[in-house]
Amino acid sequence: MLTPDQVLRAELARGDRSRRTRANAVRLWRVAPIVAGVCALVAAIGRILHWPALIPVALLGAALLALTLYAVMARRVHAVTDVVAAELDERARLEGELRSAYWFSGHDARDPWIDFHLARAAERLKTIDWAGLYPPARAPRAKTATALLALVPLVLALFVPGRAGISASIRGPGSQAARGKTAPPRVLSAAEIFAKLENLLITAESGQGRSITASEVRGLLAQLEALMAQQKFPDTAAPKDSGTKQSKAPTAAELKAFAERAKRASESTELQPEVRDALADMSEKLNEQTQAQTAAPKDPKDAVGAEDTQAGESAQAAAGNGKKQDPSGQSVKEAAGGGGIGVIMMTGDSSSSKEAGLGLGGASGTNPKNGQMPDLGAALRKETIEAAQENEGEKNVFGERRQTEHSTATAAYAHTAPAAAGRGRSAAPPAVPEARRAALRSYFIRKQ
Amino acid sequence: MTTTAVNASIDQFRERFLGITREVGRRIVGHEDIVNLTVTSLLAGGHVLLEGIPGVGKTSLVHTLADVLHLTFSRIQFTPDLMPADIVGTNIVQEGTHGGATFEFQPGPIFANVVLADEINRATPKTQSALLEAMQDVSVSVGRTTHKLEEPFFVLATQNPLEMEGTYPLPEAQLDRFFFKLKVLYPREESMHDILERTTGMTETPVSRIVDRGEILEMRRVARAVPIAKPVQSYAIRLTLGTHPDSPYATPLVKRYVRYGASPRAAQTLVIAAKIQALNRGHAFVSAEDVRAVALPALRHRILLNFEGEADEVSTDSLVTELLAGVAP
Repeated sequence: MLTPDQVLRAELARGDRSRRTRANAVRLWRVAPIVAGVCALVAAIGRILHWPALIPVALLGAALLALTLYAVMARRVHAVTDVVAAELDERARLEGELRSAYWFSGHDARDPWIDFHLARAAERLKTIDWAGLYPPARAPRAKTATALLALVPLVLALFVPGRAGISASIRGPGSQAARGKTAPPRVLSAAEIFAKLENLLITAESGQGRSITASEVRGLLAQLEALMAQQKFPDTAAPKDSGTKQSKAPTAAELKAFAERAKRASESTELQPEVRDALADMSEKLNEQTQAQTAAPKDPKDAVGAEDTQAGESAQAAAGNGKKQDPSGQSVKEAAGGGGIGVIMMTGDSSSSKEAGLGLGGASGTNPKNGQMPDLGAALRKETIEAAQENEGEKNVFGERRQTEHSTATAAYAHTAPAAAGRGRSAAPPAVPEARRAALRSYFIRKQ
Repeated sequence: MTTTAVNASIDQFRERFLGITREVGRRIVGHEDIVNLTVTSLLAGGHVLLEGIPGVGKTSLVHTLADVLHLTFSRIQFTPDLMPADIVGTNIVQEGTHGGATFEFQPGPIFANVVLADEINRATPKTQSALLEAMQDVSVSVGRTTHKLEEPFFVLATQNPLEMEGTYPLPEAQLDRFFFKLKVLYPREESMHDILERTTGMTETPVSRIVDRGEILEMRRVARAVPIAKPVQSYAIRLTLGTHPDSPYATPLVKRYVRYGASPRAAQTLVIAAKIQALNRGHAFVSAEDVRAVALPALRHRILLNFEGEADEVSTDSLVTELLAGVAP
């Protein structure tokens, strides 16, 4: 015959077991689909990255083992605490009887009241269906999802042999074609760009400009800018084996001609306004390129700089030896905006007897190619543009002037509220808010 | 005492308790919880402070209770000119039959089982304090003599929360001696119908005397015998400590608005009242729910607000309610 204490403890343990079983099952089936999903994901990634097929299967096995271990550990017998007793009490709607009886059952103090309390609690506990209060967790969706997701690594490992196919389909040209919209556009060569530009201008000039779209012109302009940005422009040419027309790099004159044609075309009313704007931009861009190409030295050796100046001095000193020297000369580079644009006095390259060519670029020399006529107009224009863009350029220093010009200093009046000037130096205390005034008055007369 | 006797005690207690409340309920309508808590206070050996606007039945409740309990009853109407001797009694000169004179103690109205201290806050603090000894020690001292009051001694004080002019608010020490502070609210519409039918007719509703003095004392003994588990007792202590702003159980409102919290007497009140509530439900144990049921009337008058609380007109009821929500059983 069990005492009420023993009955109470046995019933509590039974109730706690049911509670933990359910709680663990709920927790397990909440975690299991996630774990299976992770395994499936790892398996898929493993297939792509050419991992051995054993890895996802082993991971799945480890996860299964861990979950089983957790389930086994959770089923172990735990000591019932006051918190657990309170939870069971609440679940069984015992109105605190179980919790109180549990506490008294663990203590030696006894009197008829406690005995009565324990006996009645034990009687009530016997009638409680713990399995009904804590029904087993069903979780059909979680179970189904877990099963399906757990199958994925196995299927991938055992029945998907074409991992090379997966990678090939991702890396192959077909995929690139499929991703055509996202792939960066091919950079055309200078010759190809100008061939297209030629066709475009011919179309515009022939009175069929309505077929030209702004995006077409803008695309060409973008190609041109990309080419300029890569600084391939001057020497960029189509492959040698391509057509003769395309293999030629445009000269400065041709560029200028293109610019003028584009400018004229942009003024044509037959074209759409967007196309005209784009052509105007194109013209401007070509002009810039023309200027840059005109100003840039053809040969790196022609570049004017400190080193060349030194070389020029030594060359001049050695000129009397009658040896052929590299074209050199003293140069005076004025404070021009663009590099390489300057007034250059050149000497002849071969004649030691001749005087240095007079005039700009040494044009009076025997080898006029050694000197390049500087485009003063272009230099001035470039400088003007830079100044307009607030670009200091290389030597234009006018920051202070601009600071003064752009100063935002304003004259302002302080806003002071009109108030009566206090005669005394002490300030009045802050006013008591209206809402608290009554409370302040009655503070010392406490209400009951 | 056997377990069978315990069961019988519980049943008898419950039967008597329900009998008292049922009988009082024949006259007092719409205040079942007030009646329940008043009887609880009587059986716990405490005193009750009834607060309510005029005309809601405070005095009628006390009168009816005295009728039902078969106890001696006296009423003291507190006024500003009331003196302590008017309450506790005084020594008067008595001429002897053979000449000479002796001092003889003439008991005041406090010498009764049920004392109604009507509008207690209208008397001066000096007079109010005359009740202190009586309420705490169930005795009064006059001159060099201490006179024991008869048990059960039950003080029901009333006060009006509206008219504060010319009143003397009860000091904390005296407030703490009240077991419960009950707020008698305005009756609901359906209760008003019953009140009018019972009070405007030809006859007054009669009430029967359910228990006598001995039975009340027996009920008090039974109530104190109910065991309480430590976790439940701990809950009552945490609730009491939670009314102190520096306590770890204090809620944000308590920390902000309370100057002093409830005394240990509040914890005693919670436990004893919870035992009576448990018996009233037919239980031989005390649950956290029993403690919660009596927390509001037991704690509301034992919390002293700070200036900010007074200025913001914070109700101590809201503090206790937040405490009940914040402190886990």
